[in-house]
Amino acid sequence: MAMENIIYPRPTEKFIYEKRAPVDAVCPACGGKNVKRYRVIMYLGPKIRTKCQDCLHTLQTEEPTVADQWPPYWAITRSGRWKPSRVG
Amino acid sequence: MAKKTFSLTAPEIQERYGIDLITAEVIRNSFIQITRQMHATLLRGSYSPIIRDYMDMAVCVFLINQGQDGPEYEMVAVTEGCTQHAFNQQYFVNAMLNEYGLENMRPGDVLISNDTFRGGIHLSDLGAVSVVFCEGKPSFVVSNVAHWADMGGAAPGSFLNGWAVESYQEGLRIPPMLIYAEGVPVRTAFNLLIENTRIPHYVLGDMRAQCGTLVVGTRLVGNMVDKLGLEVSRNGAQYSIDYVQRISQQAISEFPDGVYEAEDWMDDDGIELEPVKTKVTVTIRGDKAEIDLSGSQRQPLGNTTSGWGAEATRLLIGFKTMLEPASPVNAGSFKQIDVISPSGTVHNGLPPTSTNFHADPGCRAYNSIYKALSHAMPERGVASDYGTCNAYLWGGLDTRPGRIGTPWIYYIIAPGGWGGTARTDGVPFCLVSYGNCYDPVVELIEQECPVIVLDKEFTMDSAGAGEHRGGPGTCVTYLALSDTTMTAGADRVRFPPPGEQGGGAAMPVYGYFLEDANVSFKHTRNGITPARFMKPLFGLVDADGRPDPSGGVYCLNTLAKSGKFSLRPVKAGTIFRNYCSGGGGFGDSLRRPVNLVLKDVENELLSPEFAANAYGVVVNPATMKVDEKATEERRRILAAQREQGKWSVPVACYPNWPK
Repeated sequence: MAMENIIYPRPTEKFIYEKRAPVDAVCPACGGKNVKRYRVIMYLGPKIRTKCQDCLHTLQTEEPTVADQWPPYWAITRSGRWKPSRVG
Repeated sequence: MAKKTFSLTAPEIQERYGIDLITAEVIRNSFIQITRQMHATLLRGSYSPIIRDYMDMAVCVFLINQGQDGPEYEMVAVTEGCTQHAFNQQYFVNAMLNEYGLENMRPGDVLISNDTFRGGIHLSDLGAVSVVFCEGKPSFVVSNVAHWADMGGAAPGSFLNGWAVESYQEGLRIPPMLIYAEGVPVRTAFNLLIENTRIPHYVLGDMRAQCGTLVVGTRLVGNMVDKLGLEVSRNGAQYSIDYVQRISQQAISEFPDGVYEAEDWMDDDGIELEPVKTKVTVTIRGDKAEIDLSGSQRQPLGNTTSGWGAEATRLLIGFKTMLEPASPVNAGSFKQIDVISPSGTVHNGLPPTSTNFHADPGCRAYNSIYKALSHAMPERGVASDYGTCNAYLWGGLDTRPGRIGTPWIYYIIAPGGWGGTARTDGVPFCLVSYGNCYDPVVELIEQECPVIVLDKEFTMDSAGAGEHRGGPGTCVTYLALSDTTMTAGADRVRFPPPGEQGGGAAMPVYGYFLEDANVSFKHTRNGITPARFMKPLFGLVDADGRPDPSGGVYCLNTLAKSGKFSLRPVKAGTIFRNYCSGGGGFGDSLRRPVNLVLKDVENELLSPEFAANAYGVVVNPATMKVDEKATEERRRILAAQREQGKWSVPVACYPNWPK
């Protein structure tokens, strides 16, 4: 059983920053080239978005996978191997 | 340049939604009315004082839309007793149904969960969800969240446990599971809940009340669809969401583009006793915004950490409070704003860390939003509220005649003051602004629990000074009639609630034990009791144990080393006095109109000494008249000293606290 998405150690660094990965793209809204991909909490919950850093336009919204650890906790029964019974 | 407007004309509404404006508005208000009736049902049906009296709950209706990756659940309407539940269900309902699977839900099913790591607030807040099937299709969702008075775990109340470092120590963690299947109770699920709580009689009643509320909501939504048709009802629901989104776009676009930062600190986590930092960066571009928690401190070892859903909720409450407080809350309130919340911080703890005292990271989150945006637009500014849950859990078995052996749990939550604003003084006697639950009447508490409230009043000199002062803090004294234990969750003990735009900090939080009931009756006036009658439990105190937020030492010789601890034995007859903070002051206290300072002195919210120290207003205590000449001179001197760095507005506290 994979533990990666259930139990985490406490971070060692004192202050924590979200990493924003640069993306080679041009913003269709403002023409800006400062585009980055990072984890957000939008109104539907945790997603990964590619956004223009100049105007905040969203170029893409992705559904995270278990490997993204976003949100950090994923129940092991979310894998497709677990078929639901009538009560869950 | 003409201001961009996001509102629609009646013909545009007809074209976009296929319904006329009047029908659209009738549907929008009908959804709100449905949630009001659900709210009334939950209020009438619930058993626990924390739901029934504090109204720590909210109810919602959602629209189900089909997105690119599956069903999406958008809140249409909400009625709340507790503000954070109004916002949080947008995240929690999506997380619960995404994991369980809409395809697995049937009419009459009720899905429940309380999991912080799945987007909930904390284990005590139980969410319940039903899908409304119309014309055989899953079309809407009705939901509610209510705070249960006990969910098991190490400490009565399942909240604040200062010893908890892991979620396993907090109580029963419930993944999304059915409590009703097609209208029939799932016996094993009920047994699981009832057998893991100290107050099964409350829990059974509360669970049934929550499920009954969903039945009422399902019927009312069904009635609307029967009357108007599914398509018109869905279009009206979408109009309701978009209506709020357009208001949000308008408000954000009118705020100046920019990057606004603020930071704040919690006292400690109750275990490592080190201050914990919150950092918030708000970016506004046109009609969009981002709130980034990067730079916040890692999750502490103790229980003062939030989950991702809880903290995004509190940030959005702060944002909406500042930008457009008047519009109703629904999914449209969220759509223009993304929250960036790095994993492993005090605001997004990694499992299995304890989030048992999630409340005060939340206070730092929304107060940091207030601060960041107040710098950008001082004319809309708000100073910090009292900024702590300031809760104390007592519980055990009742020993009063007629109730012997009855389990009880009481949430002692003394109300505090909110911050002064650019326009007005801060509001007094409230719970923290992201909760804003009701403060129940004393007689109900005394009937339900073996507790007597000996006094409950404003504390003199507790409000942060300012042109618009904060709301005053309170002094509340409780007598235990049965043996019990005390689990405490208080912050703003070491770092008082700060002022804004030059306003002063409020009096911080204190805990004391009193010698006997006569201390309240004979030796206390306006919350001021001689220190010789009080034993300090925690606070910023001097060597005599007196409150001294300017020169005192954090928990110097106090019984506890922090405002966060667990299961301290309390014998029947023990008297606990809590001083809850006031709100921070807004603006220059030397500019506060003299007549308003005098009015506060007359009302015994201010002592003549603190009026002179903090406002430069000289009041003769014998005549209660202002010496105008002396006041003018004192204000001139204080302003000059401030220019030279020799004076700043003092932290609120009665200056000559008697020994």
